[in-house]
Amino acid sequence: MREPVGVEVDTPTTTFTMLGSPDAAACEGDSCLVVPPGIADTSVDRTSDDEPGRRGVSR
Amino acid sequence: MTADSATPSATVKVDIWSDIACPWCFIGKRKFEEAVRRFGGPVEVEYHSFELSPDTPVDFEGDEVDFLSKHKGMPADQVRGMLDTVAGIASEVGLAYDFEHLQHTNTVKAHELLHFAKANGRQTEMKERLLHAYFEEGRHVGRVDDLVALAGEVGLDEQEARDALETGRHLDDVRADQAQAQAFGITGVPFFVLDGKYGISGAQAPETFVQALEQVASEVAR
Repeated sequence: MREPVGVEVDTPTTTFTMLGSPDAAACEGDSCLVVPPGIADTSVDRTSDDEPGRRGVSR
Repeated sequence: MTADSATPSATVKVDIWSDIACPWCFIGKRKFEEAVRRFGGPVEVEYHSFELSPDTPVDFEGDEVDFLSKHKGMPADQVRGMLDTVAGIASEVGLAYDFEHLQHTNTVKAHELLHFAKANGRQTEMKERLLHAYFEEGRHVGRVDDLVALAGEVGLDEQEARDALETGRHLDDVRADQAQAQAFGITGVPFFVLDGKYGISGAQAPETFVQALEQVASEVAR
């Protein structure tokens, strides 16, 4: 992410208590291209309980 | 909250960092919205800016496969397969991603527009409109003219929106959001912050969001 330029803001550095699965799909950096082995081939047979790992494409 | 508990009444504040050009942000938005429906209590949502790829040009020549192939050095077939996977997951939550017509662009102006919309009470509508335009309609969300048209579609004053975008009125607001994300250590989106103290990363299952909302609501109510 680009460094903020010329902006003075209140930026508290709260440490969050993280909830949920650490493997939920998200985009990091300039992409979310990381596809864990075996994940990409499972979409056809996925159930509603399946939660994708970090995978896919953002841009 | 358990099934035999009273309907939650304490408002839960949820701050969401996300980008427009982020397929998991739209998918995560749908899952979160489903969770809010199941939760049933009042939830206040505020979106915050996060640019995944700030160096992307406003006008990129080529389609999604071109961009990813060149940008990531990946074979086109592999990229197509990954796009199909993401589109399939999106369809499960009712989204019709159209990567063939998606137009890559820089999203900073879209984020400025979201802040303009927030200042005018339309941020939620603007966020939905931008994501829908980008992923499902193949519309451009990086140019002022296109953004002004989208602003008008959610009831915002088009001339006011144009003035705000052309003067960069809300650029500092975008940068402030990004600085806050950095201070929080947020490296990926979507990222949900509940009541300022709980973090949830990624497009989680609705039940995960429900549990978190219930937990926070019970704490807020004490």
